[in-house]
Amino acid sequence: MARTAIIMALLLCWIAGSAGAQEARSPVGMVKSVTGSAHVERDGRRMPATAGFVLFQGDRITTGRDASLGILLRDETALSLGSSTDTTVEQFVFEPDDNKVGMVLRVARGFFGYISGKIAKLAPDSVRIETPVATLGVRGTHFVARIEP
Amino acid sequence: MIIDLLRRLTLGFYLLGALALSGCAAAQSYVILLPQNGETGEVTVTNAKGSQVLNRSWQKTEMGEDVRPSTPVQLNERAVQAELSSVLTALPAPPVRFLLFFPLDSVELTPDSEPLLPEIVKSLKQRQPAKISIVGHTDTVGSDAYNERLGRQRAEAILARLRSLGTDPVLVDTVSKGKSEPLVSTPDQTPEPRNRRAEITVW
Repeated sequence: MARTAIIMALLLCWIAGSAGAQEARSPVGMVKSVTGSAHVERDGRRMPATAGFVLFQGDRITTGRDASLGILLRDETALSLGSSTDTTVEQFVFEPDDNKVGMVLRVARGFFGYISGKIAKLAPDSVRIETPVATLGVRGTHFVARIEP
Repeated sequence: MIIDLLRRLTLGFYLLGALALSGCAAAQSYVILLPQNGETGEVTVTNAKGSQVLNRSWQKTEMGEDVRPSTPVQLNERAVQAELSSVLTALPAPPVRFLLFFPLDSVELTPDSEPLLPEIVKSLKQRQPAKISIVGHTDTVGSDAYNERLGRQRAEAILARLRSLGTDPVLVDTVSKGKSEPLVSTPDQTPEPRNRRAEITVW
C-alpha cells in the first residue's frame, strides 16, 4: 500500500516534471518551405523536415543533395539552407520584454542565406554564427555564406 | 593480367587526382554581403588567423580553417547571382503588414478596419505554413495596467476572429504594448483613434 503510494507520487512528479519541461521549451521557428530531402535531428531522433515543421532550440537541420529549405525564426530571422548543409540552432532567446535576446547558430558545412530579424536589431552583438572556418558576427543584415571545412 | 591491373590502378589514381583537384576548387568558404531594402548591414568574419568586416553590398571575403579571412573584394552582382540563386530563392518571402483600428475602449474593429480582416485571412491561407504576429496598442486614456490588458485583449480578439474564419497559422505571437508605443504622441489621458490599433505581420 505504502509502496503503491510512493510509486504514484513518483509518477506524478515525473508527469509534472515533463509537463514543465514542455512549457519551458517554446518554439524557435518553423520550416517554411522544403524542396528535396531534409531532416531535423532532436534528442537522437531523426525526422523528415516538412513545411510547417516546428523547430526548437538544439535542433539540427540537415539537407540532402539538391535539397533546399526555408526557415523562419520567431524573431523574423529568415534563413535558407542549400544542398548538403548541416546547421544547428545552438541558442535562441527572444524575450524582448525582459531584455533577453540572443542567437547562436552553428553551421558545420554547406551553403546558406540569412536575413536578420529582431534580435539583431535589438542587440546587434548578440547574434553569432559559428562555423569550423570562422565565426560570423552579424549586425542587422542580409548575406550568403558557403562553409566548406 | 598484371598490366590490366596496373592500368586500372593508374586510372584510379587519375580519378582520385581529379576528385582532389575539383574538391579543392569547390572547397572554398566565403561570405558575401547583400543589400536588404536599400540598406546594408555589417558582418564580421573572424577566425584564429584574423578578422575582416564586410560593410558594403556585394563584398566577399574568403576564409579557411587555417587561412585568415581575405581582404574583401567587390563582386559584380550579375556574375554571382546564378551561383547564389538556390539559397536566395529558398529564403522566406518578405511579410505583409496590416494595421487595424478600434473604437475607444473596445476590442471590436472600426467599420473602416473591418474589411481588412478577409485580406488577412487571404494572406494567411496563401502563405501556409504561416506565421502571424499581432501587437495590440491603446491610446493614453486610463492607467498603464488597464491599457496593457486592453492591448492584449485586442490582440487576442483579432487572433480569435482569424481562427474562427478558418485560418490556422503554425506560429503565433500576440503581444500588448499598452499605451507605451503610440503611433501619434499625445499627452497622457488623451483619446486618439490612431493609437487604438493592432499591428499585424503575416509571413
